[in-house]
Amino acid sequence: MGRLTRALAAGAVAALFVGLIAAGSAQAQTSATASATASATVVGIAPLTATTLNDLDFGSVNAGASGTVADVDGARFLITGEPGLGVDVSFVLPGTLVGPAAATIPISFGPTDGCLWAPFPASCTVIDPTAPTLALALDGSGLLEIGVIGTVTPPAATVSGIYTGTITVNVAY
Amino acid sequence: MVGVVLGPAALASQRPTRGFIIPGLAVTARRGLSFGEIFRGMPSSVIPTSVNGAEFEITVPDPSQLQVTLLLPGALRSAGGEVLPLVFSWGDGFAVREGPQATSFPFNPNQPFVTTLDSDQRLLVQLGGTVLPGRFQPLAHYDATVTVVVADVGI
Repeated sequence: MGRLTRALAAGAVAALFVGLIAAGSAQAQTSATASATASATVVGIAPLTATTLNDLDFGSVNAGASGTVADVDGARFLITGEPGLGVDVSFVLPGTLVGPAAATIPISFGPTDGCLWAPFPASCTVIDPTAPTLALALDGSGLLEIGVIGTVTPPAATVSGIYTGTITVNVAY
Repeated sequence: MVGVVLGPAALASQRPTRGFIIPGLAVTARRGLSFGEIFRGMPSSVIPTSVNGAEFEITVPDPSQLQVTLLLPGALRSAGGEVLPLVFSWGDGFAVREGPQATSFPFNPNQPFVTTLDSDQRLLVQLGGTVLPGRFQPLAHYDATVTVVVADVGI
């Protein structure tokens, strides 16, 4: 084996040794990452909501007289949902208001006591709050505002006090 | 020129078979975070331990102290660019250390946490969250990427 050949062989062995040392001293990986996907699919229509905007307050009414309010002072409800969709609306109306010591006074609602506001207070389209169901529609923003007024007729001997009742609006697509 | 076959390229090719590569810290995504079908205007949550929660598996070759950081999107996006807000809060993260001395604990995925892990254990990092679709949220499929970064910070 010539000098050059021996030198190459020695160099190769040295290179192998260095390579093995380098491999043997390799560091473990000290950080790592992984990724995953978060996903959702929006389907269906907007849920319906109903909010009371104003109560029906008759103020002070004399016994033996009747009391009512203007449309703009009536109860108002805001319904929200899918824009443009039709909804079935119905009112659950009380027949009496309850006052002190469970005393009651009559309250009544007529077929023209309902308002479809579009918008409030500029435009009132009359609706019948006593109808079993009203077929109405949400506007392009998904809103529907309706109102109701009524008449209270406390008898002459009615005890003074605050009389209250509940008006409920049911809405469904 | 025998020395040529023992050059660096040849050495490199020998390393795997000789076992000189030290297996390192490993993180694997096992599941994504899936909210499925949701409705407009109705927030929807996934709890981290459910099958719909994201899950990452972490293993180490030696006893290690690890810092786990989750890179969380603030929203999912549709192909059309619409945005679906996504929020995470305390308890939306859940860590399960499996193996000897198994433990589990909830955490806030918005904050990194540090934990220890032995080579005979594995750490499962689970992630839930809540999407907040608006009332007029466009009907679409939305997605985003959740990334976990794990660093060995030493014992």
